[in-house]
Amino acid sequence: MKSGLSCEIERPIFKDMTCRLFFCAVALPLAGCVNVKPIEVKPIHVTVDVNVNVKVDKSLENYFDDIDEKSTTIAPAAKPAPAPAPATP
Amino acid sequence: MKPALVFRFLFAAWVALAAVGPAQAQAPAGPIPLSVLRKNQEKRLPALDGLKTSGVVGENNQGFVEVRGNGGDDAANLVADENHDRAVVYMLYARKYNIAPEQVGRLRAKKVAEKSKPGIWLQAPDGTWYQKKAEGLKN
Repeated sequence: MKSGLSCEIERPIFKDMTCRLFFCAVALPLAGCVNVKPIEVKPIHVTVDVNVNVKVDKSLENYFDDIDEKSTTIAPAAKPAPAPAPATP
Repeated sequence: MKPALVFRFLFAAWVALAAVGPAQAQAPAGPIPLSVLRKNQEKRLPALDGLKTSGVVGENNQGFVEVRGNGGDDAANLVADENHDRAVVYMLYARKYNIAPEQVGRLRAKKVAEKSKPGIWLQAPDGTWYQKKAEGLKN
């Protein structure tokens, strides 16, 4: 009776252990096969960056325009040429 | 806590607040307006241009001016004041566009390098200094 009882108690533990070992043996080699490629969003980032740079450039130009015009070390910004006057007959 | 200790603590806090109060009152109420900064920069422009023309001061690749030669204390003070104002301007635009102030400075430096007249000392993006040559000639 005694030995039969101990056998009943020990068997589920043994089963559980083998189950875990089996799971590990199967899962570990498979873990190396998972391959997730990173998603690249570089083009979007570059576009936003360029837009911001253009905006900052304009703001800086608005601010420094008067100072640069008075400066003797900075060449005045090239202004667009005036439209040619219509030819008179 | 004993009432005497509480009284002492309250007295010490009152003294500390009385000392800090006038100092806070003297501090500027808000950020410096851009118009004030621009006027300051315009005022020091002739002196700064003179230093740049003589080669004592150059424009670096971060959007600031740098003393290159021996300009003395006057040049150093002028450059420090100018750089302070520029840093505030860059900081304001950096906050507005949610970018780093260094990026704003570099953009300004690029523009200054393009627009500077021949003879002005400039710092290239790689850190080397060069004197701008007349258009048509390579640096």
